[in-house]
Amino acid sequence: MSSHAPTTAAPGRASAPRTGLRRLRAGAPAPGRRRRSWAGWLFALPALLFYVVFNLRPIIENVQYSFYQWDGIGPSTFVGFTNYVHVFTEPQLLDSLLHAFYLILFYTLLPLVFGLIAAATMREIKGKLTGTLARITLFLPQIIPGAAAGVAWTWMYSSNGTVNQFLHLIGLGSIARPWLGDYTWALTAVGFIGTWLQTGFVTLLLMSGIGGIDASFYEAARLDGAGPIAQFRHITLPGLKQQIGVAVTVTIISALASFDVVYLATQGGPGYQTMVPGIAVYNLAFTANRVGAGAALAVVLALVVIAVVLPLQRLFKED
Amino acid sequence: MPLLSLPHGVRRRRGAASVTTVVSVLAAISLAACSGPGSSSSTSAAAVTPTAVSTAVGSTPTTLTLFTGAGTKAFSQGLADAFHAKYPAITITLQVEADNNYNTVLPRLLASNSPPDIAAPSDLLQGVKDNLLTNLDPYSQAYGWSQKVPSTILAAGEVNNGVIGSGPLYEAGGAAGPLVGVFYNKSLAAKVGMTQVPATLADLEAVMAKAKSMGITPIVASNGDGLIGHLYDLLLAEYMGPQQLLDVVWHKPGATLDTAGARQATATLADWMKKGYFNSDANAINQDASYGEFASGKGLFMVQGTWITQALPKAFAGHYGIFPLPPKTAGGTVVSMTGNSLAFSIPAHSTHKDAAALFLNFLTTPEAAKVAADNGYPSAVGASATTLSLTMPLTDQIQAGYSEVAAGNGFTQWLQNADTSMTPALTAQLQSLLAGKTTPDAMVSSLQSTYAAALGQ
Repeated sequence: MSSHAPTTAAPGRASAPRTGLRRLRAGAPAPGRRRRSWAGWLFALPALLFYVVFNLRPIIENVQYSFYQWDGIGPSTFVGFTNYVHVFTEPQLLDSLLHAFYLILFYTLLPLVFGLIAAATMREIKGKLTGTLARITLFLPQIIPGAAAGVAWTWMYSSNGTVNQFLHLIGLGSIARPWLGDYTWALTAVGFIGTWLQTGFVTLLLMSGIGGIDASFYEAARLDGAGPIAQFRHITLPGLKQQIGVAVTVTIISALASFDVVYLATQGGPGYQTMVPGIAVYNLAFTANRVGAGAALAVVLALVVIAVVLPLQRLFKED
Repeated sequence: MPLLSLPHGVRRRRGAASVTTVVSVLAAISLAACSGPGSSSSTSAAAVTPTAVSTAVGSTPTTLTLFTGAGTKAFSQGLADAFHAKYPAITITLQVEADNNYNTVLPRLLASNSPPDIAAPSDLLQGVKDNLLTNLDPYSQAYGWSQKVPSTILAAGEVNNGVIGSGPLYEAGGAAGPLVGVFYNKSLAAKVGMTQVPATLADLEAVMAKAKSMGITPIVASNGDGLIGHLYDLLLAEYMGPQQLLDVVWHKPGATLDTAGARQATATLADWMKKGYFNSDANAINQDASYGEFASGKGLFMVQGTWITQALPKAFAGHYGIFPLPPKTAGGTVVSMTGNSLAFSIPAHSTHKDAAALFLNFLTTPEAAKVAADNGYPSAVGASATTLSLTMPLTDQIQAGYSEVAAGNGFTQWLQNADTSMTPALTAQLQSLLAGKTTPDAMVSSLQSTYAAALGQ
């Protein structure tokens, strides 16, 4: 998921890929123009084959399934756009899309705020050991699979879990509750798991960006009397435009297409309060055996993701 | 997200031709799937009804595969061992799947070319519709099952035109199943002064009210996974009548959930919720957590099935008992959901159907019934009638409760078994009801519309 976003956000001049190609050509024994391009295809062929068979083919099949009524095993019936009508008329399916957008708040916005603060702070940390320690601590959630995090957080959110213990400790025992089973707060509680998971990733990405900003800018700003906040606003933030673009793209996709954390934490409950498209697709296709309806929702979800991400790509493109 | 991100130089010169190549490859691939997904029913129907059957396979060396959920692994292993002891030439290996994946995985395994040889289908109607299960009529005749097994038991495995209860036999074996009832914590029961089995629902409510007033949680339930549904199904059976609920599950024409009984049952559950009879975190926890809460004395009752005796902590044994949910009025019909734990199907694509049928025949024997009883699945056949008391040992309570239900024809089925789409719908509805976010009437209407949609009405 994270692999394609950086390349799409790469500078418009495309100087880096060119150099890469040139180096490759230098190794080949002086091929002609035509043969050169065919050789390129030859190199790409194995990967392309896998891409077509395991990526494009399932996508096309999924689109095809979305026009059928099918239980996943037996014979199927062509039903045209009926499944799409279901997606937009069944309230819980429509709600699931809204929930996914609500999750963007927790998967994208909060991590970005925390990540900017953390990255800017860590730039100031001079000690090598403390810096490494801080980086590891922040990045740790990212290497834990979402499924495992989902399980761990169900314990932390339970009646006697860490979250409620902490609330009791600071005198807020009255608002303690089994968070994931709470009709009003379940989706927000799930959202914070996402925040916890994404913050490390966003921080690391932003820190690498900060590392690329010319240190002389900061020096000059300091000489001009700019404080840390002014430095952050006028140097760090503009310098991080591309990294922020990547972070926003990747985290929005994971918010809209969320599955593992939500499935492990609530399975979409209580009621339909934390139902997200990913889980609705799974339920339709594999629990309720309505493969066509599940496929239709998956197509809609993919289109929504593209519709949200493409304008963002333009917004963060360097001009 | 560009569909094809090619290096710039290549794209400029050969772009058009390459894209054409890729598109034609894609077209070729997708053409293969153009005719609509899934098997055509005519091609696989041949595998369903065996033409020549043999019962003389007991001494032919064979290895059979039995599909089982992790929760019933011990039981399945017990059956496999007992069978192997009787027919040493045949070995049964288990194919174990996590319980929450059972319904998802099994239909796909049955449709594959290497299915298990013995399995209890999660959705009998769909399995029959998709030609995945063997018609057992030839074996039933060869072994004489209709003489060995009560016809009401066999009826649960018969399917005719999408309705269970008559027609060709697709699932068969012995007759033993779980009892779903009210588990109680003995020391807490003594504390609230429950000295005898409550005779009516009102008596049970009185006990719960007293427990509540003493600060004891009356019922521990897990509803993160919708398992308060056990209690709900019991209430449905009491208020609708067990046969009426069964008609819905078995898709009997005209059967409906939209009845006064169903609404009363739902209202009763909502009423208990309002009175605070359930643990406050019911909507947040899953079954394992509820076992933990019950076994650590966090609640007086837990409404569950007898299969959980395999899962409750061993140290808790002897500290709990079970009785069926009391009837609405004294002496009324005592109900329980059950499934035949000793009945299995033979997948249509199995290559060892004769040996698998021998196993099904073995399930009608007393040896198999004993394995079932040892695992919390009593049988009504040949049981002596005893009255359930709070002082008798657990296994006797299970047997007495089961016999009591059997005597009054009170056995029924889980509403979820009506259709696979009922499970997520019911879970969500029960969670909403428990959170006070839906009304009993709205819940019944919603469930009925899911049911009607599933039946294509």
